Amino acid sequence: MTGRKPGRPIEILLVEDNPIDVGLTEEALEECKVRNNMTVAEDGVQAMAILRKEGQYANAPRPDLILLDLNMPKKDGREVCAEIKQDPALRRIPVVILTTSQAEQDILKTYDLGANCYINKPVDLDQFTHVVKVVEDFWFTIVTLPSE
Amino acid sequence: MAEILEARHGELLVTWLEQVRAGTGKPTLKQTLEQMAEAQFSTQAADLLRSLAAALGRGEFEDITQGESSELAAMLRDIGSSRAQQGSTATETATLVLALKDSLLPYLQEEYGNTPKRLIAEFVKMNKVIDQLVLVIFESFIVERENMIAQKSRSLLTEELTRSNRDLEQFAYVASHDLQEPLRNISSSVQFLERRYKGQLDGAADKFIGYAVDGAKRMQALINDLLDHARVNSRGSAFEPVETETCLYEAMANLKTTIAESGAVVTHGELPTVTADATQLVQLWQNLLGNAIKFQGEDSPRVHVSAEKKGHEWIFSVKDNGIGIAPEYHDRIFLVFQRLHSRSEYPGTGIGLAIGKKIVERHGGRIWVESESGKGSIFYFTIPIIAHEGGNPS
Repeated sequence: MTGRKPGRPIEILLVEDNPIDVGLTEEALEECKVRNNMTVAEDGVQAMAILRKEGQYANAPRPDLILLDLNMPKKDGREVCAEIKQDPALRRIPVVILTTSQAEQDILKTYDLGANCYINKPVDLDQFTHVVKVVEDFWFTIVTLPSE
Repeated sequence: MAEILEARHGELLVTWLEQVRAGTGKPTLKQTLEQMAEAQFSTQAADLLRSLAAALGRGEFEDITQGESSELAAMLRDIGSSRAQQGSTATETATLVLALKDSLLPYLQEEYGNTPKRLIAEFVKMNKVIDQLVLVIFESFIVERENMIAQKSRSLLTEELTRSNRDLEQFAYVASHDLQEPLRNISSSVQFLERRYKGQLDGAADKFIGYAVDGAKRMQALINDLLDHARVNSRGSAFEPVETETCLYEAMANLKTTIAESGAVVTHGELPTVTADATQLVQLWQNLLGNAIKFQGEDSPRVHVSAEKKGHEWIFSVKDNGIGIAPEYHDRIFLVFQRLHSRSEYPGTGIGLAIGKKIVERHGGRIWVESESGKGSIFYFTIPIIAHEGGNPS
């Protein structure tokens, strides 16, 4: 079987500025069947530093999946998505947009920029937890992630 | 009157009158009118003036309420209007017309000088005519002035209202939009607490966490509704020919579950094509149908939708056999967040009809209800007919 080597935990990079959403996502992922490690970036600048292993992030693990919020300070998710998908070293990493925005132009733009999929964050907590679990299920157990 | 005499013809007459007043050459009215008749007038105007000249020649002054004289009155009314628009006063114009008397006098004297009784009689008649014409001029000035004032204040008022409405809409939109994020935070946090700590703290904690969860959900619904209300104008699409029947079916599809659960039967007559925003029309149908079903009476809901053409508009009606609405509430129900029943009796934020009204008014129509408590309701709304639409049911 090609793809990611089994055994090591899945590395997830969550790029999200809202601490409540961070907490809820973390909790949902903890109940996940597949072992996973979650790293959190609070804004786009930190996210890119982690991905490029700059400065203090020299030893940061390479994520297998990026959960990306759109509206963040300093550098927003749209810019991050563009940078990731234009960088040959990073563009293989699946990017799942997870945002409160339902704006048509956001959906179209991020798909244009190469986002793998777009998910609108449910307001209801149970539904939010369910969405995180479905995302985990799909990307970790059904999808074949690139091995490098 | 516009077809008979144009403004410039009135101008010519006024110029003549001014000349008379200024004393610069005093042609007789008869001659002047004949000259005017020869110069660039429409045939009707020329004929009118010729016959007027002929009547003067015969010494016949008709009462201005009859025949050609009333057309002369109308002509002077037009002069009055255009002069009012130019800022002249009624007095100025009337004075000019009164000068007619001066110029006609020598003519009368010429004709009837030898028969003083006849002269007096004709003079009296002439005065009567001219005086009535002056009254007409004053009348037309007043009307014109009033129209101008009304128009000015109407357009100022409309301008102000439009601006005020736009500001309010923007405010409502921004407020609702910005309120969503902190509300979501409260909502998520409180739901999290409920999930994690339900049954682990005391009963009071459970109860109050429950209230907070409910409150947040309600606030979310209210904000969504406010946004929908603001979006009627901000997210409205351009109008195009739309089949109201198709829109009705789409609304019914959206209400599939509600219709099935309530056992509602929806019927309709022939429905036309109108010039409208299709999405909003579906919203409107859904709103009205939804209400007809929600506020059902003892029997299962029966709803009939129909349309009637009246003059320049289509009048649509949605008739139900529900609980009805007492007349004193007929206006209130179209206001934002107005509810007639408690939340436990019937769900909803009370914005549905306000949105419906906004949609109808955006289309240039009106919406109202005929209903009595316990006797069902008929909701009516109009959509104006715009010239280029086609495809009306035969």
